[in-house]
This record gives sequence, structure tokens and C-alpha cells, in this order.
Amino acid sequence: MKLINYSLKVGKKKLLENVNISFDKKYINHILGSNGAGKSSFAKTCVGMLEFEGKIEENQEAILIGSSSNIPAEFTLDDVIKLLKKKFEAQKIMGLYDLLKLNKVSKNLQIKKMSDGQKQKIKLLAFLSADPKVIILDEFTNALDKNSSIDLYEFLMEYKKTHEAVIINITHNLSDLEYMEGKYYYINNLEITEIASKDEIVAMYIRGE
Amino acid sequence: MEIRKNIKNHFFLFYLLTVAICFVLGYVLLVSLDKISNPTISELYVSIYTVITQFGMLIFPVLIIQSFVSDYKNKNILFYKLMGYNWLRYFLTKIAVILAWMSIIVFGGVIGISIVYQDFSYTLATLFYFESAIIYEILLASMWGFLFKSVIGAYVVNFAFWLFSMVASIANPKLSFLVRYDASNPVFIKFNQYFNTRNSDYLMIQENILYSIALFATVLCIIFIFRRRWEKNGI
Repeated sequence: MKLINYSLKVGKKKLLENVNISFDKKYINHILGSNGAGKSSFAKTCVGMLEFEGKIEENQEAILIGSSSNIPAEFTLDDVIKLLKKKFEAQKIMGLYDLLKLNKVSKNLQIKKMSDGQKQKIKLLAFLSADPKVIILDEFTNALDKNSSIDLYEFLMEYKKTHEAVIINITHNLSDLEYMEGKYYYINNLEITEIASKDEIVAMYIRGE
Repeated sequence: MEIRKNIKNHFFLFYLLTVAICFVLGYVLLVSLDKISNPTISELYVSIYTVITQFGMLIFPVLIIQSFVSDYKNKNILFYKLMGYNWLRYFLTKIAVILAWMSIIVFGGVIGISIVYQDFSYTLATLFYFESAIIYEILLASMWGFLFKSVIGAYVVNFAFWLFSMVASIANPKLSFLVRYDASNPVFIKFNQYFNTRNSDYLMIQENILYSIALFATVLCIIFIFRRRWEKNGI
């Protein structure tokens, strides 16, 4: 996915200006930045839910998985699987089901009664069933305990190996970087800059540069 | 998906219950306020019709608006998109499902009353008028529910529109189309005359059908203009 002369403004506030950058397939592209820097708004523009200036290439099959994309909480896992099977390939859905180890989750419990980790797994099952070419995870491991996060890290690393998708992980959680090797980007001063190493971006983030 | 969702979150029960309350209130008001202990079938139908068009305008929008706003509040719109919905399919599915739930009680209630009174001469006309009034209320409330992100905002606008329309139709009878099914409207007066005379010339079947189509088209035009709000409200 490529940003060409990309600028983003929310209300009167300019968040990003004239950004030219590309995100590669088969990598976890981590994006860090301080609150209000424009990370989540950037994610929304990638899926066409917010207007921007410039161009985003190769985002036709982009999906956003985060706090703005929930599965109706009254459904059970069984309901979600039945609905997904009407729309997507059953083999694909069950492959994801196994990879996410969803057999450990009750099929008849309403999503609203599940733990945050289980909810995130079902969200991944649903949104990845569409076999998207661009996956944007927006603060995906927020509020998850370590074990739930590690489950998701393992899943994403495995998924990345077998799928030709661009994965962008917008995060504040430095554990994401620790457990999922990838490329690193920092949003600051109206720009998105690629940072050479994990240690460097962690240091920048901690210093609040 | 929408039917399954309504069953799971018990919304369908509220739709069934509120329409059933209209039927019960129609009878209770006759007995308590009008002191008619043994109402005729026509008195009962007219009373229920009045409740649907008055009480219904107050209570149905709460449920209808809530069904839209809860999707916005719970951030479900991206899931709908994933399942192949766009703003139009979403809106049409919602109104079709709401209408279906409400119609169950309308049909059950009217046919049940016909059976109790052993009189089916008014059944079809009554069903048609009740359904027309409900379609009017569903279309308006759904439009506000689609456009607004908050239940209170949508409800207040819906209520204000209803009040304004009533005042406007009283001030200028040409504007009575805004509240076509209200008890102050000639449509109701003629419907009443139909019951008094059994003369079907008083029925306004074609006009009501045309009105429903025109209202549906108008509502679709409005939500088409504001279709981006579906996504904006939902993220």
C-alpha cells in the first residue's frame, strides 16, 4: 500500500502533510506516535471512512480492525460462523478458526459476555475471512492481558507467513514490537517516517519525540 | 442477519409488545374514558387506530431509532459492510424487519378481533389502514435513526417534526399530508365514516398506497443525500 502526496486534516487540525511512503506485504508494519498525532484517523482514511487529500494506492481491499469495528455483541461465535459461511469460503473460515484456536471458546456464549481477548479473536476471524489485502490493526492489543496478546501475536506471525497481505499495526503497546518483528514507522510533525530499528523507535516513543 | 440479531437482542419482543399495547389500550380507553363497556367492532377498530397514530408516534420511534443508533454506538457498521451491506441495503433491511415484526401483531390482532366478533367485513380495510399508519411511522423514525447518532437527538427531531406537522396541518389544511394518518386528518374522518356507513367509497386505498410510495421515495432521497452519515455515525 502506497501513500502519494497524502495529507490529512480533521476539522481545522492538520495531522499529516504531503506524506509519500509505502508499506510492504508480508511484514508487520508498526506505526507509533503520540496521542492525537493522527494514527487512528489515518487508519480510517485507508478504508475510505474519512476524507483525505492525495492518493492511497492498493488499498481497495483494506479492512480496519479496532475499536471502530465490532461484531454485534448479541451474536455468538456459532452465529458469526454461520453468517460468514453464507458470504465467504467455508474452508478459509475454518482454517482461521483453527489458527486462532477458537475451539477453546464457547460457541454458544454471546460475544458481549466474552473476554476482550476472545472478542478480538472473533473479530479477526470475521474480518480476515474476507481475505483482505491490507489489514489495519488499530490499537488491537489494548487492554489485553499478556497471554491473550501473545496468542494474537503468534496468530499474526503465522498469518503473515501464509498470506500476501500488508499488515499495519497502529499501537501504543511496546510489547507488540517485542513479539512481532517487522518494520517501524513513527508519526510526528505531520510526517510518517520509517525508523531503522526497533530500539530506535522505542527510544523515540519513550522520549516522546 | 437482521432477523437473527433482533431475536438475539430481544428487540423483536419490544416491537411485538408495543403494537400489542396499542390494541389493549384501544380497548381500555374505550371502556375507561368513553365508558363503553361493550364496544362494537368498528368502535374498537377506530379506537385502536387512534392509539396507533397518537401513542404510536410517541413510543414506536424510541424502538426504531434505538435499533439504528445501537449499531452506531456499538460500532457495527464495518461488520455490516463486511457482510456485503451498503447504506441502502442496511436501511431497507432494517425497515423491512421492523415492519415484519410489527405486522405480526397487527395481522394477529385484527384477525383475532374479527374472529371474536365473528365479523370479517372490516378486516381487510382495517388491516390496510393500520399497516399504512405503521409504515408512515416506521419510515419517518427510521430516517431520523439513520441520520442521527444519538437516540435523544433523533427522537427529539422526530417528535418536533410531528408536532410541527400537526400545527402546520391545522393552520393550513393543504399541509395535512404531513400527518396523513392523524386523527385530526380527513383520512381518519373518512375512515370513521366508512365504519358508520359501511360504504367503501370512503376508503382511500389508492391514495394511501400512492402516499406510502411517495413517502418512501422521499425518505430514500433524503438518506441518499446523507448516505455518508451511515459510515460517519458508525465509526
